[in-house]
Amino acid sequence: MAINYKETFKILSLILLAGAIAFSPSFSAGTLSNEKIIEIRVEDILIFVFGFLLIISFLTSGKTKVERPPLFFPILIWLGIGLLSILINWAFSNLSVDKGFFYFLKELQFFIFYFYVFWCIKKIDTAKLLVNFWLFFASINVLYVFYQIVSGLRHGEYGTAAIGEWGVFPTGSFFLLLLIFLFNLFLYYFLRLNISIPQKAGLGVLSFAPILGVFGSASKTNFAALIFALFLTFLFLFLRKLDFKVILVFILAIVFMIPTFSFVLKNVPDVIRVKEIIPIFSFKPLWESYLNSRFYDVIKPTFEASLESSAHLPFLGMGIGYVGEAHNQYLRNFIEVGFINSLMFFILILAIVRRSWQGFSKSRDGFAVGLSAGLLTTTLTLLFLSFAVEPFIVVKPMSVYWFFTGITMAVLSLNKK
Amino acid sequence: MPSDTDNLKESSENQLKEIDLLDFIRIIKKRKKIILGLFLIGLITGILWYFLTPSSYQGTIILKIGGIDRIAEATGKKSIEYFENINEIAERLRKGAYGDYPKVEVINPSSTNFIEISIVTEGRDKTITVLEKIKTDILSIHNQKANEKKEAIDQEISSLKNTIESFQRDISYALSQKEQITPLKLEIYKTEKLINDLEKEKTNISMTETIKGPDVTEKRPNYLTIFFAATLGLYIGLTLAFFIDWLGKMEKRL
Repeated sequence: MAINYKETFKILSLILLAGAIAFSPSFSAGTLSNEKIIEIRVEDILIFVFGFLLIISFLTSGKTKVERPPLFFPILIWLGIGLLSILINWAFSNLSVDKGFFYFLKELQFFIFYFYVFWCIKKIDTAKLLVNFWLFFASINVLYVFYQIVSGLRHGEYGTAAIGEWGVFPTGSFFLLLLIFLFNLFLYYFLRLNISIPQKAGLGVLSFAPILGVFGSASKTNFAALIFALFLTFLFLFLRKLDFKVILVFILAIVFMIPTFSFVLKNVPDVIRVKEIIPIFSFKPLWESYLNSRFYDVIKPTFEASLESSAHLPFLGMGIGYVGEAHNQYLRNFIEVGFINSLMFFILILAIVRRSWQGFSKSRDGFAVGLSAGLLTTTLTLLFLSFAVEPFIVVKPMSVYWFFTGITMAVLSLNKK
Repeated sequence: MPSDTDNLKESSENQLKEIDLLDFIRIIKKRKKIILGLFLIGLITGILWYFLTPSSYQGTIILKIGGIDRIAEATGKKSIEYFENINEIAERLRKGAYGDYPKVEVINPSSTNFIEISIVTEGRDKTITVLEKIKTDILSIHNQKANEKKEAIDQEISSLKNTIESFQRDISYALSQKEQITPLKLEIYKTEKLINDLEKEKTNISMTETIKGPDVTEKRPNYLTIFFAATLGLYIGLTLAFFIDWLGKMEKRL
């Protein structure tokens, strides 16, 4: 059988890209005017090279038409208004050129990840292969966390780190998103595969293992989001099908959580931070922690300052890259891209939620259902996180999110065909 | 067998799910007047803006807000009791509470006791004068508070020292009467500890001070303004061209 080199290259490029997201450290490439370091990662270089090759290959193929991916128009409008806002603010010298350029480029890159993954997946088997690779990459990262806990050599900001990462939130959310996607795939797909029980158990442990990374990061915000995500996963599971086997696995997973958490708590001293919000079910400690460490200190003053800083703020904002740290994604959107694009942000999110809900409720294929459930849960979890942080601009988790969104949308489109 | 209408519907759906790059070139060619026109409007506006906008001067000062360093006995956690809450200073400055001057922008980098104050006025000297006034106002208020606090501590220490002297007199009397002196000695020990704590608190008072500035930079549109205005015109032109084409398609469909 003849090897299709083009297809093989596409698959290989996707695996390399996933590997780079999972393992690549960042390298300094200078500093911005606000003295923030410009960080370059291997995936930045890879997506530039692969994207360029894809365009060349398309142009030389003699074709003029290209498949329009789902979410194309919401993404186009979001980026279009964002660019308009940047150009206006550049023209009025409200926004520094380097900040606007690099922050916009970063945002653009997430969508390029999505489009690239979508266009490169031509078969369901490719998507399955990618998921297997993600499972493998996640496991290597979990092993790295385990090594840090056991050896006592912690490389994270507070607790343990992911490979190539340091920050508390990027590490925690990277593991959280992987956990949601892989665990949902396990519940709806791996669990129904025609394989032996020990093999299923092994896959189950691997899918749920990223929880160690969430705990190890000692991130309070991600800990709260984890509880929210598990609640949503259970809720969707309940809505989809009440299957005894699946419910049993879910309960086992929760039971598995407790010794894992106590193991981390014993060995990573900074995880004690998480204990402050542990009585999450009473909601009060979580709310008070949010008010004291986020709302009164950062969110409220930033919002008040932003209202007074510019006349055209409510409509088109001060430009992407204007805000240093808002600790609230909705506030950042409002200040940077104004009221109009804030609305567009919700339309984009709504489009993702709608598509993933359709995939979740109407698909018969467990793989598509698992991916859709994962995408639905991560999107809603990111909206929850957005009250206390700005998850949609954080590189590590967002690269994972848009990569999986690309896989999900490609699988749903292929299933339709 | 599918009917012609079904085939037509299917082909129209497929068309919607594809992007034809030739369409882009066709639209740009068709609407080149709009695109070029808006590009020129942007370019001219940029040139006018560049040459006609007067200079303004942005000044910045960075202050370190003083207070009393505290260490919680139970947790060992450090905290600062500021002479004035940083967010409150920011709010009062923004509302012009320190005097009548142009609108100020105040930034307090998260988890620090620094405050960056910047203003924009039409003259370099005015910018410096206003910033100096703000700085003097804040420093004098905070230093007054610091001195008041130090004086209060000194008074308390002197009063405690008097108490110790009185205890010592009581001890001499008790000794002459051959009475128990241990409780009095314990009181002296407690009072001395209080004095130590107060003296420590006094050394933990940090004054509000200027870290940087006032630094003044001239703010006027640079030559890039012309480029950005022209690009903006081009961008709006392209968007409008595609929008008009889309409207036309919608109209035809209806």
